Order: sequence, then C-alpha cells, then structure tokens
Amino acid sequence: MVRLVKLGALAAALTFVATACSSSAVRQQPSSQAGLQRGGVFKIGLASDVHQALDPAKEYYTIGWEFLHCCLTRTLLGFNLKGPNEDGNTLQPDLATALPTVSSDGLTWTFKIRSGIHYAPPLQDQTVQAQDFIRALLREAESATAASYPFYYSVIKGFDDVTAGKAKTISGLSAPDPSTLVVTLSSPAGYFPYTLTLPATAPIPASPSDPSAPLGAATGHILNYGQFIVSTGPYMFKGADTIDYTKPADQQSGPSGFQAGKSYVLVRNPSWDPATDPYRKAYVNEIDVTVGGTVADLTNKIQSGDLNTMDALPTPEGVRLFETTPSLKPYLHSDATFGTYYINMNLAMAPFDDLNVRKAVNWVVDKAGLQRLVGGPILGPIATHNIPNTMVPSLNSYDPYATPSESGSVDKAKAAMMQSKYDTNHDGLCDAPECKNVLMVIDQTDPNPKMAALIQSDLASIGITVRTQQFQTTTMYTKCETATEQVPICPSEGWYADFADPYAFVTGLFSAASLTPSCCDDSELGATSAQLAGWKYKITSATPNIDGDLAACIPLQGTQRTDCYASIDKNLMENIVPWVPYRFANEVVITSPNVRNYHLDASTGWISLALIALNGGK
Amino acid sequence: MQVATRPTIDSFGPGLPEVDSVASVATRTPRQIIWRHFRKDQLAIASLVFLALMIAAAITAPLVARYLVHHGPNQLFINQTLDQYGVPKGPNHQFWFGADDAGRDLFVRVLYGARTSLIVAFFATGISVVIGVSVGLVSGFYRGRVDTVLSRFTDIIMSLPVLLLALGLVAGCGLAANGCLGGLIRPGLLLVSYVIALFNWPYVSRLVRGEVLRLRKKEFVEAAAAVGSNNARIMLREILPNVVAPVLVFTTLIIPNNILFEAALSFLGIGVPATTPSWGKMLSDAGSIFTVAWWMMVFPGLFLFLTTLAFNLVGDGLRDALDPRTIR
Repeated sequence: MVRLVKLGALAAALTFVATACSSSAVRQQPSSQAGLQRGGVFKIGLASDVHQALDPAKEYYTIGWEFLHCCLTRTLLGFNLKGPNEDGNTLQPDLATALPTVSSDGLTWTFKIRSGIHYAPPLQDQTVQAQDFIRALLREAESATAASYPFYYSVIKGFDDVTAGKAKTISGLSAPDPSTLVVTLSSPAGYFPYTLTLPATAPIPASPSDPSAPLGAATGHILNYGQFIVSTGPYMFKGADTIDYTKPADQQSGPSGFQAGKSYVLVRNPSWDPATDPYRKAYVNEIDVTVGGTVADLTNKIQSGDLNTMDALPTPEGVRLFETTPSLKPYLHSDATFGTYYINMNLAMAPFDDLNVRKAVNWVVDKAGLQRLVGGPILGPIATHNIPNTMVPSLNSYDPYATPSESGSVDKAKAAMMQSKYDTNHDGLCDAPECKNVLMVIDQTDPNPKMAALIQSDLASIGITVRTQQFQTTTMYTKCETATEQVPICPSEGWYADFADPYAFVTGLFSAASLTPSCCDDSELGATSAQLAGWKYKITSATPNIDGDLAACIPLQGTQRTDCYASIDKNLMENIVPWVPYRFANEVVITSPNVRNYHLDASTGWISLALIALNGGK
Repeated sequence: MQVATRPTIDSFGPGLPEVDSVASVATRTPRQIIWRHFRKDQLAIASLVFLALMIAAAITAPLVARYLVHHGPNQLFINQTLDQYGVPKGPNHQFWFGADDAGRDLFVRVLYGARTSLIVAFFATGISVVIGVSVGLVSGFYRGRVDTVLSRFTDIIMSLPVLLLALGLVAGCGLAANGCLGGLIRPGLLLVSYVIALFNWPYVSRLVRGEVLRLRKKEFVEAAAAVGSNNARIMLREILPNVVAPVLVFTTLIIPNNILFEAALSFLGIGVPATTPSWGKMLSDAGSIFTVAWWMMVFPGLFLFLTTLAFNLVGDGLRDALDPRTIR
C-alpha cells in the first residue's frame, strides 16, 4: 500500500476515486481532444526526490508511480489513466489483449499477451513475452530485491517459497507459449487483478548476454534497476538507448537523463506504437523533471510558466491565491482520492492501551480546525471513519463521533475518559502519570507542526500532555512504523490505497502481517504478547486482532465485498479505535496556464502525464 | 577629593570675582562623570528607556496574557483567526497584531518573544562574560605556558564552525527526551543559551587578555605585589576592576549579536522549542506567507530590530562615556 510521504509536499499513491460526495471540491478541466497538439517539453518541479530511484519493485510513492505508469512500464492490466469520474478505476487490458479468463474456482487466471509490443532501444528487437512477466514477479519475490509490496503476490502459489529461499521459481506461474501467461493462486482473491496493474509486475526483457538469466535485463541491478528500466511505454530515459546490457550490471552506464536527486529527462520511445496503447496519448515530446526548491518557490515558477506543475500540495496561501484569482482558478485542480489522513494511536502504549482513552481522543479532536489548517475543504472533506467514502459509499453518512461542526466536544470526550483507568478520580481528565509528557512524533513539514499544536491543545483539554518531536517525513514514518520505537501517538500520517479495492486500504494497516518488521500496522493491531515482550514493551497484553475478519472479506465480490469491509470499518471505529481519522484526501494540483487536457490519473492519484498536453504544442 | 588649599584671588590679579570656600566647589565621582557624559547622548538615553520598557514588557508578559488579553501565547483560535483556506487574519480589535498561521495571537507571542530574546541575551552573555573574563584574566596575568595553552584553546574554539556545531548540538540534545550528558543539557532555552555562550566567550577572553597584559605592567600592580599581595588578590582586587569598563562596553555590543544568533537558530528551526515564542522563529514562519500576512513578519521583525538597535546605541553611548579622550 502506498503511503503518503509528505502531507504538504507530495500527493500520495494510487487512488481512484469516484465521487460525488465531494463534488464541491472536484474541479477538473473538461476533457477534450479538440485542438490538442503534440509537442513541447512538460516541466515538473519536485520538492523532494522520488522514493526509491524509480525501481518498479520498490517505488511506493505517487510521483514515482505516475512516471512508471504513464511513461515507462506498461503492465498486463491497467486503467484509462483518467479521473474517478471518468471511469478511471475500471480495470482495462494494457499489455494483455483482454481481461483474464478465470477458472470457476477462482484459482487459475489466464492472460493473453499482445503481440508485437517492442521494448525501447537498445532492446527494440525484443517483444514482450509471457516469460517477461514471470521475471518481474520473480524479482518481486526474491528477498534480495527488498521489494516494497511483495505481500500482494503471496496469494500466487509458490511466491512465498521463493521469498523464503525454498525455491528458485514461482510454481504458480507458467508460460505455456510466449503469448500466454497462466497464474495459479493458492486461494481465491477478489483483489488479485488489481495487483497486476502495479509497476512491480511490468515485464522485464531477457538479457541479451544470457537469455536464460532468471531476472533478464534486471540481473545484478538490485539497488539501481530504476535507471536501467527497458521501457514499454511512450517514453524512455534520455540516453537509455546507449546502455549496453551485454555487459555485467556493474559495468553498465546509466542513461544521461537519470540524475538521482537532481533531474530526470524522459524522451519519446521510438518503439512505442500508439495503435497498441488505447489510453496513453503522449502529446508532449519530452518530460523534464527537476528536484529541489520549496513549495512556495515551485508555486511561483508555475505561475510564471517556468514550470508546468509540481509534486507538492500547494500551501494554504497558494491554494487561496489560485482560488481567489480568476485568471488562476482554472489551473487549480482538486479530485477526491482513496486516501485518509489520521492520528495513529499505539494500542500497546499507555494511555492509548485503554479503549476509553482512544474514544475520548476521537471525541475531542477539532477536525474542522485541522481541515482549515491544511488549506480548507478543497484539500478534502472531513473523515468520519477510516476507509474513504469513495471505497465504501454505504458509509457516507456514518459518523460515530459526530460533534457540532466537527470541531470536537470536550464534554463528550470527558464522558468517555471518565470510564478510563487513567482517570483515577473520574472527573473526565486523564490524570494518571501515564497521561503526562506523552511522546508525539510529527512530520516537520508545514502544516504538520501547526496541526500538531492544535491536537496538542485538544489533548490537553482532557488531561493528556504531549511532548513533540519533529522529523523529516520519511524519518517520521519510519519511527511511527517501527514497533521498537514505541511511539504512542503519530498525528501526521496518511494512507492512500494502492488500488480501488478496500483490501488495499485495510490490510496493510490493520493486519498482524503488517507489523514490524513489515509495514504499516502502526497501531500494533494483532500483536501477540511474545511480540510485545520482544519489542521491550511495558504493556505485553496482546492487542486486538481482526485478521479473521479481514480474511473473510477477501474472496467476496461486488456489494458483498464492500459491505464486508464496511463492517470492518465500523468495528474499528467503535470497538477497537486505533485511529482518529480526520480528513479524506483530495488531490490538489496546480498547473501553469499553458497546460491542456488535465486529468487526474486515478490509478496513481496525480496528474495523468500520459494525457497532458501543452497549448499549441509548446 | 577635596582641594586642601586654594590659591587666593589675589594670585590671579585684580578684577576677578571672589572665590567661595572649598565646600562650594563641586566634585564628582568617576561614576557621576560617566553618567554625566552618557546622559548627553540622547539616542543612548532613549535606547535605555526603550530597553527598560522591553524588559518591563517581558517581565509582565504573563500578566498581560492573563489580565489584559486573557489568553496565553500558545492558545489557538482557529475559527476566529484563520479564513477558510487557513490563511491568518490581520490586526483587529481583538488581536492587535493579528494572528499567526497556527491561529495564535501575535501580540502575546511578540511579548513572550521578548522574554526569550532577553533571557538569551543576558543569560548567554553572562555565561560567556564569566568564562571569558576568567580565561582572559588568567591567561594575561600568568603569560608564558599558561597563556600559550589558554590562547591556543581559545583559538580552537574560535575556529569551530559555529553554525554547524550549534545545529548538531541543539538538534542532537534537543531530540532526546532527557537531553545530553545524563540530562545536564536539556532541550530548550537553556540549551540554546549554552550554545551561544560556548561560541562567544573567546571574544571576551581575548579582549580581557589584552587589557590584562597592559595593566599588569602598571605601577599599582607592582606596588600591590611589593606589599605582599598574592596573585589572586592582585588579579581580583587590582586588575579586574580596571577591565570592567571595556568588558561592560563589549558586553552591551555582543548582546544584540546573541539575540540575533538565537533568532537565527530559531529561524533555522534548531533554536528554542516550538512552544516557546521566539522572534526568530516567528520570522521563519512568516517567510512563506508574508505576502498575504505581512503582520507576521513586520511586528516580530520590528521588535527584533529595535531591541538590537537599542543595545547597540547604549553600547556606543557607554563606550563614548568611558573613553577618557572624550571626558572634559
């Protein structure tokens, strides 16, 4: 599951969204191909670099995923690269000729591969074969790769055996002929086809020096495969055609258009045939990406036309400027996504080991204030439960902790606190020693410190005093995700689903399999006494476990499926309460006035680079 | 010192008025002479008055918060002070200096910021003066090997990359809940003061050393040694009183530098904790938003500017008042 790396800077990962419920915040330019011209250089400013050097198996971040999806790595299945209101979350065949045929027991998935899809130079003589997908999944399975989301593929028979070092190949994958891929699952999984849209499954061509090498052209590129991707998309890295794949990996020189931490240049892939790619339009000739600069700097450059867009969310004053300036307003785009921002509470750390304390925190937090601090409703509606409304529409009106204007209620919070063991005199205030000086780890990126100050003030009104520690975004996430860090409360986190299925939202957050050393069950749900003791926790009582509930939803389809996850959400909100969800995420993007044909790519949650165009092709 | 005998008027010839008795001739102590000259400098006097007001404001800030505006510097007024986009509102009848981007009263925070600046100014400066005077006194008096060692140590401290070390110390000790050295160095205002003092004392030491080298050759020092005074007594009773004046002048001139140093550390995010108002931190917060919220930069910037200017003017006035060449 893709994790939002920066609140104020980066928009997160995959999202699709449908919906109407935040129609006031949805602002898309009408999609139209009339008058769109090919040509021009699209310039992007990144406030911070991509997450994992664009390695398809590791990249787990919206911006990186967009570069891969739009431009470099086609996959078996995909989407139309448009927004949630434009059918952007409906599965489409990409490198497959059609959606797979599935056996009646749901275990065998058969894909037919499009013929004549050539890789980019220098391997333009190779075409995409079924074996190429097996290489990609093998690389994902190997523990040496340190892939970011291998857990999605554990359902493939034999996948985990490779990870555990018990096998060299994945027994559930086979290619009876070059154009047929057969995937055998160990159990039915309704979410499975979505996992084949993720960049990790992008095909890897055979190595020209050793066609039998299991990992093909990726052989030896454990840490730096991103710059050696052999593109199947409309673009490739500038200079990628000069890579000599016949040499050993450590002797290969990367493309000139890949300068980690500084810049990336994507140029047209001469092998790409638009006739084989119904959704990517690739209007612009080149995409230039530069890394660095503050959000304010990048905003100014977009206004002046020196940049066409940026990765970061605009600052509140930037949002205000674009909203209130008629000439700029059309270039402020806001779309609902599959993301939630929340305050995480560690169920194994006092005082949050007490359910009544967690409920009290849910009652007292001023969600409206948090929304205002981040920039207002355009950044997303107030969250009243965990899973975004866009994924479980039946919960649109579900608000178990409703307060006037969602500004929090000290009275209701105190009523909950009175039942807590940490309120020793039952006056509604947390007065036990465990309530004082509680560590709160926050993201130092604006506006997180301001939001943390509000949360600190809210907690103080029910007797909980906190001391904050600020960290750079990725460090903050590492500390909050690592059980041994023993962080009681983390208010700067956000979670975007990797694909349009509730499985992608809840599994990585609330299942025991996502505990340390894996990611990202920061609440320590499902932790056993032995685990807590091993992590040196003072409280070693096992935390609540909902793995059974999660497993029950996996094989279901349709409304049964969404209802199943809706009931999980209700259980979490009322009986377990690991979070205080406070905002469903909208993706807000600003573009320069010469940008045309803006669409949100619902599959990544950012601007659809495969569809973007420049006015007059310049 | 009274004049024991006076020439008679006749000594000067006829036509001059009568000279009264000895008692009518006014005499002044050195302090009176210095003050007399100092108060002629109107800018210095005005600055002194301003600083007195700032100190009073800093001391009474909690009272102002409690009894005048009825809220503290960290109290949030999200709904009253931020518009729908989270942009703060400007000066009005309720929030005289407007609000900052977190929804806090800027007026109260500026007052509390004065406390931060003045505490750092006096405390950090005090520490650096104590250390600097001690080291300079010993170094200049003993000379030889002692002077060599202390001077080289001073040079090393002066050669350290101040900002980088300050950043490392404050960040490192600031992140740990119990600070560093078993809790001896804790995150907060004191840590920032220690860091500032660490990098300032060498300059005081050098000044004092130079003065001591000059003074130790004076006859009164030789006389004190001749009558059997030990080294400690000579340093403390003979030499030290004579270095007070230049040290005092120097102190008033480094105080504004220390205020700015704290402001710079806070601006960089490594100064005082976020809950402690600081003019530097306020300026840092204003950097990205001042185009729509000018008050966030103007008020703390103005107070910082006026305070450092006032210290500089007082220092200039004191220097002129103490300079024997200007005394008539």
